Amino acid sequence: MRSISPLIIMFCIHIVAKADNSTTNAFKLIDSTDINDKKKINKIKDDIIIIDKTNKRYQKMAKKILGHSSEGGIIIFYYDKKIAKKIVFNVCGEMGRCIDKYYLNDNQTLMAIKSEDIDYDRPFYIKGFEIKLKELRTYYFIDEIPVYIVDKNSPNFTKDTDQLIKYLEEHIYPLHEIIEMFNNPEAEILPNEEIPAELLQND
Amino acid sequence: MVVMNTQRRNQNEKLLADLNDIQKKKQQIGERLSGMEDKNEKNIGIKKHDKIEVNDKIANTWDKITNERILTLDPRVQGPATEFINRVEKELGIQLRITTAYRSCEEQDKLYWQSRTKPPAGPRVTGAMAGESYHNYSRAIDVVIMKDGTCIWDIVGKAIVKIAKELGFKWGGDWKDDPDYPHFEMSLGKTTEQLHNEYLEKIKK
Repeated sequence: MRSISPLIIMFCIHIVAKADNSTTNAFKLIDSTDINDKKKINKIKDDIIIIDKTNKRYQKMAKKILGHSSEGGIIIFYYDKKIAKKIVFNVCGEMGRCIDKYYLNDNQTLMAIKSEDIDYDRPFYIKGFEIKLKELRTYYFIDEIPVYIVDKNSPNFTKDTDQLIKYLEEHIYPLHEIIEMFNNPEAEILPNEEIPAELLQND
Repeated sequence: MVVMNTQRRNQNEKLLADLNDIQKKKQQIGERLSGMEDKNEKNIGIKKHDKIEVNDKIANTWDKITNERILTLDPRVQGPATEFINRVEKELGIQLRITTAYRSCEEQDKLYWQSRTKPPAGPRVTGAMAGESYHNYSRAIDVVIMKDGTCIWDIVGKAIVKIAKELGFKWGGDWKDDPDYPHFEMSLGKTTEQLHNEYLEKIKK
């Protein structure tokens, strides 16, 4: 295990302290047709654009994540002056991979999750495997309650509230679980040079 | 960070050299696994493994290729893997083939680094380096349904999963964000982090 610099330890302590305030225990859904909600969502969209535009100057820390998929994964924290702004969670499997991007407000609560699922037609180690399905979905959070808007990226995705809640609970890790994984002392710090370019790109 | 990266690469080179020695020794022990890859699965990269005592209850499934792959597993996993394939055939009438069992650390590293070169030498398919997958410790299998000599890459059914779990396997389909339906593994009481750290300690000595 390589040694951890004091700066990194400081970051970890900071995030642990923030985790209590940013926990989302369960997913809920509200009606997003409300005009006030739409305004709030537009504000979140603008904030996401700003974060993505400026994340090159943010400080990054990445850790390897094992035990949550067959082929391992990575969590990348982006910090702006020691405040986490964006977290990228990626796990790889033999039949596909996913990339979830968590966007945080200045008070360290969630404002959105962009979730990308990539499915292969057969395991990657079989010659000639191809990407069968690629889906990108965005969940917005208003007052820490998730709101999903059906968009062009996934027009066939469920509009049923119960199904959506079940889907979220089964497929998306709540923020506090991501932070727990990141703070696991066994999680190895990954040098920035080894972060795959795919995870550093913006949508 | 650059120094850390160099250390990491050096460490990997040592690991690979050690693994190459092990592979050579294994090759000297037995040659029985040669030429067992079928035409469709040449890239799976099966390597020779410890020669083990084989009795009539181990590796006696319907499928020769599966039998050979079972023999690459940890001896403690060979029995349950054999029973899994046989019970699924007997109780459900479904023939499963094991597509991967043991994967060498050398191949794991090759898969890891292929997308991290500039330009990338291959697609990004794994986040696990050598020693970070249960496949590297012969404790995991991937299966596919076979029908009329063809691989059916559908999600394995609940009944198949139930049998595997009864035999002590953990199913990759239960992972939350990126379920891996063909994947079944046995930790044998150790996480991949623990196995990896133990391996690194051994190399240091």
